[in-house]
Amino acid sequence: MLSTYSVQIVLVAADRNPQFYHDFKGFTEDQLSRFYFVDCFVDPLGWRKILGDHQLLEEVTVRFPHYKVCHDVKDLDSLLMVVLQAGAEKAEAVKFAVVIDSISSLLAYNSLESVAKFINNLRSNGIVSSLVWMLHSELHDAKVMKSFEYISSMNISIEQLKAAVRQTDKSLQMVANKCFSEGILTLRHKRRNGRVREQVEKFEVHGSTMTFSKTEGTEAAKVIVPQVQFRLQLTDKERQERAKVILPFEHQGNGKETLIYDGRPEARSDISTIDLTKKDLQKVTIDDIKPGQVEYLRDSDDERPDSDEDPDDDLDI
Amino acid sequence: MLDDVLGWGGTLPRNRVLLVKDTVAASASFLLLYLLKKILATPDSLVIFVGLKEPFSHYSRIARKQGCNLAMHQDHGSLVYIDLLSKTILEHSSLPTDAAVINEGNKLILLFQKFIRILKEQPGRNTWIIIDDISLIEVIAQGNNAHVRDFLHYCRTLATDQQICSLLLLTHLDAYEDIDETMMANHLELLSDTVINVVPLVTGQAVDVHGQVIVEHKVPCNVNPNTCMDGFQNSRGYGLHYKLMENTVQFFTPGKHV
Repeated sequence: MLSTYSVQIVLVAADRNPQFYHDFKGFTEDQLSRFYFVDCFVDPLGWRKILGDHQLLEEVTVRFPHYKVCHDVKDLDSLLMVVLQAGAEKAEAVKFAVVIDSISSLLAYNSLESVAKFINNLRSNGIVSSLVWMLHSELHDAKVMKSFEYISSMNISIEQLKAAVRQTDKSLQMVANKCFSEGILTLRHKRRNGRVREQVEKFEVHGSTMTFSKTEGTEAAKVIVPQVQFRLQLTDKERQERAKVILPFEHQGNGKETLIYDGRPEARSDISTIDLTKKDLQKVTIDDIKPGQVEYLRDSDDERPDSDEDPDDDLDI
Repeated sequence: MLDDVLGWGGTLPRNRVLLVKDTVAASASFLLLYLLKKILATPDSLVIFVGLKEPFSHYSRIARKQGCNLAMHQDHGSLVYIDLLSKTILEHSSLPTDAAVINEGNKLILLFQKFIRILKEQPGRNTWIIIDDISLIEVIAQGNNAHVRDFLHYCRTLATDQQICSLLLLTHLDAYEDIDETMMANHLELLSDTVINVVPLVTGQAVDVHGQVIVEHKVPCNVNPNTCMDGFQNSRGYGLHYKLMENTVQFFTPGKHV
């Protein structure tokens, strides 16, 4: 917004000290001069004012040329007037933008209805050209999130890469690396004709700059392997050799007579070239097996059929 | 080794909010004293310790075993101990019990006022406010989480103000498993710059390894990690194992116990 348009901005700082934005290295002097800071961070409930009345604290000093402290964020009507007056003073009858960091702090002191009314009053005011606000999804339930999503014409959600290797088992956590400098950005834009367009990109933060790149469908689900001293992944050659391994007792299922592989390497070659005795190979054809029927094959010819001998008789118990 | 992971290898960081979370199976009391000792060893530092869980004699006895004399630091003025275990919050306040203040219901403004008074008496020092622990602050607030959030917000304003002040908060990871309490846990994480989780080993108890410490930094994007955190190249989390000895604690990377 700062680099594209020469618009004046009223920044309502509730989550961070305005000094943070003033010191931000990503802003030039010219860009900073377009800000008007409404400080809802330093004294949102008037505690400093109360302590100042008892000579226990000095008044909050004016830090920037365009700066105002709000001592009561519970009174959103007054805050609205402060924002509009600040914009009028800064922009001088030209439209201005309002940025709120963040709505979550306002919701901590006010109801959803009053904050939504505050946002709507700003939106509907003809002199506010654009309104940007931030909301921390972890601090609110779904109703609050959806309410503000419906009000907005564009939603941008930022989340970590889903591959962050971190498993939570109640109170236990595994040692893992959690990367805070990159993530996935999902942009949902509602057009005037009703169409909703969604775009997903990957972003990386480098100091005071951000870079964006396209993400494939599997990018977000790509697993990041933890940084350990041994290799966990397979090479291509190892992957091919693993695919060639025939597991024991696996039916080959290639249209030929089904054979149960007993694990010996001789049996892996062409079956017709091997002279197999009855003891070496048990042949079970698919046609012989009827559904629901069990075929018993004797281990040896010595075993008498229909023997009622209990195989556990030799146990000395 | 923990100093490198925390970025405390060179000088102590300033204006930081550190959140330490522990569990029933792995208590972070050792870490609290380790960090306290580290802070007090730094010249021109000031510690405001809010003790709600144990008496001062308990911390003093354990710190003496680790080579740190808390009574001496208290006499020299580099440690201010606020005893909220045996005293009420009203006894610590010099604010008149103004009906307008107390009627708001949030008595924690009195504790905030105490912090302000101490900072005003000793300006310019690298001050650390240590609270042991947040769940007992909720007891003072009579279970009102909103009051605790307001109080922590104002404490955070001290950490981001022009005066040099940092916060070290201790809370319990498994105290906020209830769905209503997870918002409080999320709020605590959100206001912190660094989160340290002290958890037991996933595989159970061991003789040589007593638990693990996972450090997660959330570095503001206009701060160069290389200058304020020694050994860091990126904002990521790091895990260490630890073993508690009689007079000290050993930290080591997983699998490299000496």
